[in-house]
Amino acid sequence: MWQKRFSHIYLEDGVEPYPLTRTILDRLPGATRVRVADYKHVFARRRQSFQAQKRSPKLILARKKDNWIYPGPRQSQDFGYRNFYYNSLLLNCIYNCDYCYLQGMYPSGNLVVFVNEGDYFSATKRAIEGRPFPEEPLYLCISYDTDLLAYENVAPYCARFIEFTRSQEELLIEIRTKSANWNALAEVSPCPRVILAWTLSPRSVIARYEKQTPGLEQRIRIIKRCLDRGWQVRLCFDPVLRIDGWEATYKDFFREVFRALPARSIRDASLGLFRMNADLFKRIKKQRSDSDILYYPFERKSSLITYPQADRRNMLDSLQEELEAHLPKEKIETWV
Amino acid sequence: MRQEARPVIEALGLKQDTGSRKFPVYAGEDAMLVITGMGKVRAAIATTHLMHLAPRHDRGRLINVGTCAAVTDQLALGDAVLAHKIWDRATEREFFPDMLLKHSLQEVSLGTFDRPVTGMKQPNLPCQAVDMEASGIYQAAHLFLAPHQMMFLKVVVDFVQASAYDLSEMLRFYTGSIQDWMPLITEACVWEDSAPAVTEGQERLLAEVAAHMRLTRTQTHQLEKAAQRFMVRGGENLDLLKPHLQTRPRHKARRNQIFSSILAALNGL
Repeated sequence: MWQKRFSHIYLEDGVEPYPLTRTILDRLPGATRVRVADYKHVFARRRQSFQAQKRSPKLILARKKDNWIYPGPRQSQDFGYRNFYYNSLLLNCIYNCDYCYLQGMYPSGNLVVFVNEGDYFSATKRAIEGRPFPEEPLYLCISYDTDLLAYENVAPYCARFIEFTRSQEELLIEIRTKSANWNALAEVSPCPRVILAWTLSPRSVIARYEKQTPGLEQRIRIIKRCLDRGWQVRLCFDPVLRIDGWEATYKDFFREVFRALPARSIRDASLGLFRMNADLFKRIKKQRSDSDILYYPFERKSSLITYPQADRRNMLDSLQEELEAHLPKEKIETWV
Repeated sequence: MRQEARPVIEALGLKQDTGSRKFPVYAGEDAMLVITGMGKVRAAIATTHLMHLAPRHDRGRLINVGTCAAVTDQLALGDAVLAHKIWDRATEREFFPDMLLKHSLQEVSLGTFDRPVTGMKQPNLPCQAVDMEASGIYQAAHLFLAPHQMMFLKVVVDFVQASAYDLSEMLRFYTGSIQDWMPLITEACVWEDSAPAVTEGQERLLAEVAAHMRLTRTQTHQLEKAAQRFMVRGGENLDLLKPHLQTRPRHKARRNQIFSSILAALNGL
């Protein structure tokens, strides 16, 4: 009934000369090509249905005209790095997790790939030179509002940014993912200034709320391979959801993860409870009525929606204790 | 044109709505049809008229069926096409219906012109076909519908390079292609985007409870939201509301008290 993913590629005027455009078009030879004067004419239309479009997301190739790098927001995870930045090489994600804030952030379920990679590299170089704390590296999250590794087979941005990072002594990048796309990394030699960060969730959470993402076994398998090859690996237990039987589910899950992975090889980990910007949350709830996790009696804490204080404390105390049984405390960054 | 509408009216078993005087409207169990006439202004007005007659806009689809002229020789007379882009010649604006559903038709970029296009010797246009209505219909429908709810289906009956064929000739190309595109229309009448959390029967129950209890508009809205939450969070049905079909509170305070207890029951799953 539905067209396959990326059945259509919208090409913004002026993207043809970029090598990444050619690479992507070659990798999706059967897609129907549609010209568009400005990518926002497709991506930012009024009244789009994010969830309907997720059934057959389209690809939009565009040029990013400015803001190739952003300072990291204060309420985000900086892991202690004061020169914290992120960029948006892609808008949107190929996955569609129920708890994802992108549903409220973007007007469309379609994916935008910015093909002018050179502008990103130049902007990153300028940011490295002008970083406010020169004694620390520039910490750049390149898969911040997306899952770059999951899309590597179409837009090979991870490999290109890893190569770029090798040439920049003062740059540390994080690539956050749920992907099990080993092929994307198999030919890339590890770089000590690249952190591969996997978001991990219990099986039941993946099955119910992280639809279309690789299962826990697949994620653990790729993490193992990366650790064996010498990659820096971060584990992100975030967001933790208050599901029925959360305590036993998450504790068993931590035990399983650290039975499978050598804790001493893990660079660090983050633990965070479900939270979301209140405006985005409101927008998501307006659009979808098919996910129970959005209907918990949440509490508003300044601009964030999160679990009530008592639940938060209870969950964090319990899960932190379990996590500390596997990883030293100083390797765990907690988000309330 | 009425001749363009006739095959659809017959296939869907629609009956004329005699209450609609400005534009001919036909209605059936799952579908409504309006004959827009020619030109994008008439088409936009007719679409708005239809949207006001349609019972709800969150479900269902709008399909613009009509004829077009081909710009490229890659199209042949009698080809049925779907527009993935609509370009308005007068304003230079472009519109994009979402192409989510599988189909077997050729896709084109469609240009909407304000007057018939014929005898264009070297058409250097950013589109493969032209019509006179699509951009007006898109813009009007977009006030009510999402882009994935719109579909623009055209049959090639002419070429912009040629002088116009006579009407009966054009209709011959149009009716000759019906078997290519009619299945898409009949299918579209039963497409559902997703199963809603609250079924139509449950919606009726909620409306009846609200009427019996003489709930305010705000309370009715709160009840609908609470019922939706209840169902999403795993509630089997809304039978707990049925006793309230007999409830007729005599004064406001009592009504509000009962209403609060209903909300508590729905929220307490």
